[in-house]
Amino acid sequence: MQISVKLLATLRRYRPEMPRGKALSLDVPAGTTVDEVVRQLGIPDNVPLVAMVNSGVCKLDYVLVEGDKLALFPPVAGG
Amino acid sequence: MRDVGSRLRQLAVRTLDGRGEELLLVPVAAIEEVAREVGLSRCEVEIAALQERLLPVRYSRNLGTVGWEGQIALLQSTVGIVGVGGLGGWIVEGLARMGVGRLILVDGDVFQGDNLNRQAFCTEYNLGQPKVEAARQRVAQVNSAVRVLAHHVRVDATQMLAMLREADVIVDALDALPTRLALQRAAQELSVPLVHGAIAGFVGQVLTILPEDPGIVGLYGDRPVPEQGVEAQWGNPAATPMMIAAWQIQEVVKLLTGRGEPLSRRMLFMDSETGVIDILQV
Repeated sequence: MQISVKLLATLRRYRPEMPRGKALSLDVPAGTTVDEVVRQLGIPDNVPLVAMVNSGVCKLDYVLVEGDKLALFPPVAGG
Repeated sequence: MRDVGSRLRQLAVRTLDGRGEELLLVPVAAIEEVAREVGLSRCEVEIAALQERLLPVRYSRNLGTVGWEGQIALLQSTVGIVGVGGLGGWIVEGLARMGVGRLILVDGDVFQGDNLNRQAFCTEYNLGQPKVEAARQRVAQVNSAVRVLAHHVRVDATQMLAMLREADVIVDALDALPTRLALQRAAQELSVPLVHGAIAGFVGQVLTILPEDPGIVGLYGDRPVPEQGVEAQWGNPAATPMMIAAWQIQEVVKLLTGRGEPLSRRMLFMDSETGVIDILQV
């Protein structure tokens, strides 16, 4: 199934070929979780990130469905 | 108030606005003079002037953006700013210049050497001084019509409610996730909009959280949160807090004047390293 993934800020470095500001199209097997996509992108487990699917924050064990728009971004808290 | 109006009119200076129409400007010193004569605060005199369509000259470049009623609304408003560091300093500066009548400042820190690279009010002369005290002095120099209520305390959930009760809008300029979440809960309990901003390295985010919005509790709230985000590794350079603080100031002005569309449920996520801004539906 097709999903799209957007990597924001420093997470972009795991897919440098991704055009700036654009999403990446990924073909993944049905039943794939967010966690599996994160691993497939080569993002190490210890890299902090927030995952959003379509319009909502999701947990890493969320099971993706065809057409889902995934966005991954770093948690930012400085002031 | 009639006396105030006629006295201000005597002291006003005639000019033409951008469309060639006559405009009466009240000089900075005239506000102070009339306030002294009639025993009102400078803020009250400025409001009286605006109601008579006499424009305090200090707000003349605000007029086209916020209008007469918008400027009156700003002067009649109270904004709570929680955290007066990298973000909060510039936010205090901007809101004082815009003419927000009352600022409630909450911050328990004193200035340290590592604040000098980015914090608006930190100088080599005031290291060791409470940040809220430096902010109060700065506001007195920039806009003496603005009243500052400074609380030099570390924020805790119960105190927050008491200190921020009179705020029309609250600004989240904190630097740790758990207190940011507690502040959102407090703002929601008070039914007051909260303008969230956070920074790390080249990256920053802005989100206006209306009382019914999921906000950052929706982003981070359902799992244990670390004290800090990625800023611990990426640092906090000079420009990033200015950029995000500027957006937060604009959000506050929009909320108080009823102009524009706040970034509610739309988080602006800025990566100034690559020059990309995303809007995330949250």
